[in-house]
This record gives sequence, C-alpha cells and structure tokens, in this order.
Amino acid sequence: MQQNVVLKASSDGYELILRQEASFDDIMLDLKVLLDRLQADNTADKQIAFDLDTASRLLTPEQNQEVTQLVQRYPLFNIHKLTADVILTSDALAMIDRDTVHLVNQIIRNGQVVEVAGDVLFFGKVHEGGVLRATGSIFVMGEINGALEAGYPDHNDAVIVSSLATVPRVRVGEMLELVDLEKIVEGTNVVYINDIQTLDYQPLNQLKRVRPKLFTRNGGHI
Amino acid sequence: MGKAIVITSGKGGVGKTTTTANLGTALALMGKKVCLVDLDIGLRNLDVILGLDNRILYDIVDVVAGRAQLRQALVKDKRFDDLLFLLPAAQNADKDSLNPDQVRALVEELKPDFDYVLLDCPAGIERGFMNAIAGADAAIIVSTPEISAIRDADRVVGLLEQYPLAESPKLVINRIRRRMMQDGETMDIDEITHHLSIDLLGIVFDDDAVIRTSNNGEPIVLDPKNSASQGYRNIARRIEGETVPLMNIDAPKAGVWSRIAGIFHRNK
Repeated sequence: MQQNVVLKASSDGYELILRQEASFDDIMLDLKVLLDRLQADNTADKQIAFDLDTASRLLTPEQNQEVTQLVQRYPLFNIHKLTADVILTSDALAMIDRDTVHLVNQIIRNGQVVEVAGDVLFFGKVHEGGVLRATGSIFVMGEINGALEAGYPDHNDAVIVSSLATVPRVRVGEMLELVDLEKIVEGTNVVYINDIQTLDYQPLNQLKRVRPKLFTRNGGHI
Repeated sequence: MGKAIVITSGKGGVGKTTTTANLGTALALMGKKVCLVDLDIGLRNLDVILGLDNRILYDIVDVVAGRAQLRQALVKDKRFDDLLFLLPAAQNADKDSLNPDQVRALVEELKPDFDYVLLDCPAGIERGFMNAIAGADAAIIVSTPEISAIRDADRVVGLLEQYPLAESPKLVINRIRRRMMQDGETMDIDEITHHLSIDLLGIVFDDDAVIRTSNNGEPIVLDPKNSASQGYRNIARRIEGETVPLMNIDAPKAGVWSRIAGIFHRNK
C-alpha cells in the first residue's frame, strides 16, 4: 500500500510530505505510526524539526491544529514550517493586486476618496477635497489639488513621488502632515518616512537611495 | 414620454430656483409642455418667483400622502396656454416627508403628460438632494463663478457619478459679472468648465432685473431684450437640441449678445 505520509531527509533537515490524494484521516493515522517509529528509532535524544509539505492541498485551520497537536505529543519533535504548492485564489489575487502598479486615470472630486490596493501610477486629477489613497506607493503624473495617502494604513516603506506645489496634505504609512512649502524641493518630490520616523522630502534623483527595493522588482534593473 | 431634469448645485443661493423658473418658462415659450416640481420642502420659493404663490391649494406632500390627486395639486400658469404647470412644495413639513421612491413614482406619473419635468433641488446633499435626483433622467448643475460654489458643484458631480443618471450632468454658470471675469478676479468660463470636466450647457449674466422681475413674480425670460433672459433662452434651445453659440462675454453693451463670440464659440 502506498504510504500517505513520506519522510524525506535533505540538507535542510527533515521533510514530511502529506500525499495529496489521501484523506486527511488516513494521513493522521499514518503520521502517528510514522512518528511512533521515529520516536523508537531516535536513540540520540536529538530534537528534530520537520518541514510539513501538504502538496496540492490546503489544510484548514482546524486540520492544521490537529497536525500540530499530534506532533507536539512527541517531546523531541516539532514542526518547523508548513508549506503547500497551492494558495487560495483570493490570496493570489490580493498578491497580484499588491504587486501590480495600477494605472488610474480619473477625476477624484471634492469629497471623494479613491482607494487602491497596491501601487498607483496616477494620470488623472485630484480636485480640492478629494483623496487618492493607496496601500502601496503613489507615483503622480497628473494634477493634484487634494490629498495623497500612500502606504495606507500603516505600510511605512511606501513613497509618494509627485510635484507637491499644489498638494495640501500628504500621508505615508502612519505619518500625516500638511505640506510645508518651505520643506519641499522644486519639481518632483519623493515623500517617505526616514530613519528617525518623520516624513521627509527629497528630489526625485534620490529615490533610488531612499528606496532601493523599488528598483529590484521584476522589470526594474539593478 | 417627457424628460425629467433635476436642477441642482450643492451650494445655496446660486440660482437653482431662478434657473428652474426661467428654463421652464423659456421651454413653455417654445411651445413645450412643462411641469416644474419644487422639492425644497419647507422653504418653497418657486411659486413666488413664478407669481403663483396665491394659487396653491394642495402641495407635493398632500399628493404623496394621498390627501389630493396629482392633477388637483398642479398649479397652472395662466400666462401660457396649458403649457406651464407647477407642483408646489409643502411649507409646513420637512424633507423627510418624502422619500426617493415616492419622488420617482411621482415623476414617472408626470412624464407621460409633459415634454419636460424640471425638478428644483434644495441646497445641500442630504435627503432633499437624494429625493430630487431619484426621479431624474438628466441633471443641470448650476454654479456661480465663485470658488465656494464651484467646490460644491464638484462635490455634486462626484455624487452624481456615484448615483449615475441616464445622461451625464451639464453645467450652467450663473450670475457672471462680466467686468470681474474680464479682469481675472473670478475664474473664467473655460477655467470653470475645464476644472469641473463636464459639458457646458450655457452661461447667464448677472443682472439686477432678474431680482426685480422675480420680486414681481415674472420670470426674467419673459423680457426678450434682457441679457440674462437671452442666456436662459439659449439654454432652453440647447436642451431642445439646437446648436446655439455661447454669448460673448466681452460685448460692450446689451443688444449684441447674439453675436458669435470668437474665443468662447462652442457648438452646443
């Protein structure tokens, strides 16, 4: 009979692979048998951490807890991490959203708040009293007379890249302030949270120094 | 089947009611059958401007509450042969006396009998506004060249994007003071239209005669020589689908308004 739980050793340690075709109940039985045997064989009293691989199956939180509790019954064993070849569609879509630069070309009028998951390249207009809000960074090529909020609500590594001459209010992550015309630079500004946790303004050519990570993504050049 | 147009602005005092009265009258002068609906419950004015305030028997709340039939409440303007009617607002009730579904049903009942149903919206963006846009197919946004009015107009355009009507909203710039606009003391027509990014339906110049005639219960549009009247008449013609050039803001004197303005020429 095919085993429902396979133990593999690699240079990184031990891996338990749960066969995806097997039922969860069968897996639990086989896992117990396997762990019992290992317990008996393990004479060195050495602590062993397993990586648990569920292949093309996602464990529910309850199943996850069951497996963890079973392993914890053996004092020498514990689970190092859980991996699977699959993720939820909703998680995948959220991930795509987060990693995509969204092109937004619309008028955000007085009283309107437009919220975007991920980064935004903005071509439209924000009127007085309007708010453009993104969970990621905001890059502006349009006309802004309203507020810009990047990294909303608390992603402090986000940046705003925009001319600020007509922008009354900016927010990056948790930091929020009225734009001080004395502090901004001429032309395009990079607004970010600096090492001492205050909002700082730099000219565009400093973007790479301020946030080098922006340039190491797919499509960017190091 | 007629068309229901809401006249709105967000800000108060920019001339919604005056615009409603004058556009309604202008359309009636063109031979269209028009019903004006005053939705400013509690602060009705449209009847006063039309000079119909002494002829109100029932009002819109009476109709909705079932105390009167719709045709009993309609006040006919005798100056026009069965062309202009008013459904007055209630004076001793508030805006919560109506809900959007009731207004929608009422407008649907009026539309088959009229070419145009003009809805006079109260100031603000609360219940009264929601009531007014509920039954409308199109919207006219009235603004003056003042920044505060333009801001509020912007807000209202945003709300109309949220609750879209069959047609996109059109802009009327009201109470333009030529001298101030020429001197750059107020935003000019192009700037306002560009800023709000909606189609311009027409412009109306500020004129003391508008107030004077309103006080007498005679809409200004009845005076064909007046420049504000011309503005309203042009708007009415554009609503009817005619192409009318925009009035010239630089014209030195009254009497030459119909001249085609070079820089403000538009094919509306």
